[in-house]
Amino acid sequence: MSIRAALGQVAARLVRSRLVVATAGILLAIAALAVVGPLLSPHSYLEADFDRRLLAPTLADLHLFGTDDLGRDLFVRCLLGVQVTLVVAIVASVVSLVIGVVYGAIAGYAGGRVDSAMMRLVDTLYALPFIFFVILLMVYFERNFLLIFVAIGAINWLDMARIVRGQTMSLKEREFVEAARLTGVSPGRILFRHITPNLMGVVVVYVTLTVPQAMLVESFLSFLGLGIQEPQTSLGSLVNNGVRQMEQAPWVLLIPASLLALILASFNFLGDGLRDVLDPRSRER
Amino acid sequence: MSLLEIRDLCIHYPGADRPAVDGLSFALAAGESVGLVGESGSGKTQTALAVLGLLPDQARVSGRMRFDGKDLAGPGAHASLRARRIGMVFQDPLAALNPYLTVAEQLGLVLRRHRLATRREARQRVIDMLERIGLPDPPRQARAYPRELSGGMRQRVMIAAALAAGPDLLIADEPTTALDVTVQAQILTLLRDLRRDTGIALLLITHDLGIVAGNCERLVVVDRGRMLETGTTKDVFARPGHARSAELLRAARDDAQKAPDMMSSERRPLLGIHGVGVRYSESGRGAIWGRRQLAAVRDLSVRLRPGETLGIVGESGSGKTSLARAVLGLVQEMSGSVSFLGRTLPARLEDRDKGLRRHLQLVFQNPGSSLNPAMTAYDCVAEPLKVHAPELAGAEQRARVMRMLERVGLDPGLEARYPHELSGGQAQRVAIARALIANPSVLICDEAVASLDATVRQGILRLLADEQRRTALAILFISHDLHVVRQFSHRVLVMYMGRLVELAETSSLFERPQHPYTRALIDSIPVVDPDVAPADASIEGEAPRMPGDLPGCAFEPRCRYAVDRCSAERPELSAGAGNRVACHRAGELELGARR
Repeated sequence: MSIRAALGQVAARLVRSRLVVATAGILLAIAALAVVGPLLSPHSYLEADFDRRLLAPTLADLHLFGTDDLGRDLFVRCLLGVQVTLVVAIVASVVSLVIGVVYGAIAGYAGGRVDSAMMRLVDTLYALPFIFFVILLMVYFERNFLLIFVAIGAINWLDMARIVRGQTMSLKEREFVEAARLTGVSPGRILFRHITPNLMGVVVVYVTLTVPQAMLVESFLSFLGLGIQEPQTSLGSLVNNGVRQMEQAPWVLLIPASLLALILASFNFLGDGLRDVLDPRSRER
Repeated sequence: MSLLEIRDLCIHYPGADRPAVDGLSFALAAGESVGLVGESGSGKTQTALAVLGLLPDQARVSGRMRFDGKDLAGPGAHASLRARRIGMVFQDPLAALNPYLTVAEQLGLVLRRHRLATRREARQRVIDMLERIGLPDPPRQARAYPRELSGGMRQRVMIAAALAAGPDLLIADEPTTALDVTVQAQILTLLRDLRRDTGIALLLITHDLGIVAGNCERLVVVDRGRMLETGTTKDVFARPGHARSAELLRAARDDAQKAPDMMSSERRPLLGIHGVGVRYSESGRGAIWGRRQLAAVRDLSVRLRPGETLGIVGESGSGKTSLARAVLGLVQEMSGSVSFLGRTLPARLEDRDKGLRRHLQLVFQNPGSSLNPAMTAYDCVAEPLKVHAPELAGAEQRARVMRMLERVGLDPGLEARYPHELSGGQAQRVAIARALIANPSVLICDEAVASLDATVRQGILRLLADEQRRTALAILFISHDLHVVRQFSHRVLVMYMGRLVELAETSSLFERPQHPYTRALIDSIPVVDPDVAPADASIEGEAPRMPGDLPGCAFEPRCRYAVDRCSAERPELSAGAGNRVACHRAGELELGARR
């Protein structure tokens, strides 16, 4: 009951922030288009037409974004790329959110040796060269859609765990936590009923900044040829493909690249906007 | 002609439901001292900021403000006039002083800004200024950074900075609220001396009518942005012209809530504190020699009976809160023991079972930080029930919580509110309800009414007294405010640098204090009567922050009655009936009460 009311309050504050509303609107519109667009188009992402390779954007036959080097409709493929990229980024962020919050909150609340041991593990994982690690995974397990989540989640939760641990350590010294301890509330209940809800502001902001980070990583892996496999596609592999046609058909590069940039920028602005709204210190001014 | 004249001042913030200041008019003559009095949210500080042109941009200001015949309206108007002829002292000197500049650098900047001194002259001028405001050893203090000074010293530096340019008007916004009573008395004495020597006018903003009584010739009473009345201090105190100002006066005087008579005192002690000591180890400066041990409480014993309120007083740093935390099991290292109903309690809270924890509850100073911001009033109060009576059905639990909310005087309609949507008094009632719902035997109130306005404070004290009458609750009442302690406690324990220096029945302690420190504390309380000339501060200095182990009496360096024996031998607490006191000269001194 209380969580819902708290979210309601935050929502009311969010609506007042134009930056948040505008960027959230853009993201929702893109996501809706990515879901609905392919259904409306007469083309499918698979269908190749070698007579119509590298067409410029045209209304004729509804090739709104033109076609690629195999004559596939770029509009549908871009929207499919948006779907895949968004799903990968959001799922990876949620994975890192859950692991990071639980891990960080436990380490921060337990303190002492438990904390030291848990955080040294995080430090060790940080020290692994990420790209090398991913290439190894890909080579060993073959390319796999799931693996991309694992790889991205595996790095992002480290940051989340550190942030949550720091917040938890300061929250557990707060008087309302002492009051709960004096009452006899169990440590688990203190952690999940008193500390976690107060972490949410920071966590939500951090997640909106993690999503674009995860998108970039995914695009980067796809660009290197380590990500999504044809005929599936993502914005990163579309850009990769576009680079090869850059001189004859620049739109094959420019359209997915602009979409990627637009989504990334929106998420970053959304994160900034959320931080302004949720961080009490910035509200005092 | 008036030095400062304010006519129909209105300050409105977009989105606020009422104006912060609504049609305030008053004047202040050269050399005059006027008190601007009101509770929090009355618009006092907003008025001061408006005069200084420091209001934030979104504030909408209307009305006239004239200083020495010149119009002050509009931001930035006559900025140099303001800077040079109006000095300002804020409540929190640590926030108002730049932490990266030494005292000499800050004051030097002020002087050079007004072209009163060259870089070379500035140093000597600063030392003269520090001498004038009574800082000991000015050349050394001039090299100090603000954090190295005590609270009182910082406020003196702030006053020196405000006076640097030789202003005609000093605006002091709650200048002593963050300070101990003893230091408050010193700062007020300084302000009186400065006014006598320089003839500067003073606009003193305060919530404390005792301070106004001794320091202001006239006063302006404001409430919720509106002016209630203005007049000479004597007239308003004798015949308040408005019901609300009469209420403020009543709250400030003694005649409010009295502690209920003690319940049968023959029962065995409820809570026993036996030779408790608390030490903190601190690394940091001086860490070259290893970690330093700081003793917060030293070898303190006292007993608390059911239905009794024991007041604990002392300056900040005297160990009051550490003692409370030791009793509650919240300190890392503790010597001695705490017993409850004859059973020795485990030292650490984690080793006490739920049934024991229920009996000792705490009410913190600031409900804003002691209530979980993400939980509603209902959830806060229901939580102890969920822990201690999980067998209760939902409906029964709800009924109990609602009964408790009603018992602490909260409108049941507020149950779904979050702490930040409640006023300070309402939030403190929620915190008290949370502490009381599990039926504790001992309630520890750590400055529980310190952050509340006087009228709200009386309501909370009445509530605590009612609870005590109803359930024979024992209360440890920690406060720096002797006025409140006197009203509310059966016995009072005075602490100085971690030691018990005097323990007595309340009336006996206030009327016949035996320890010079108790005497000094009592003398420092401002008297709410304009006919009584304010007494000058009766002790110098402040308790040292880093108390070493002195061989003698810890109070000896500040004690005006000290003899050779005091620095050589530690006084033991006297035994027997009457005041128990730790002073070598307890019997021979005549420390009779001032009033």
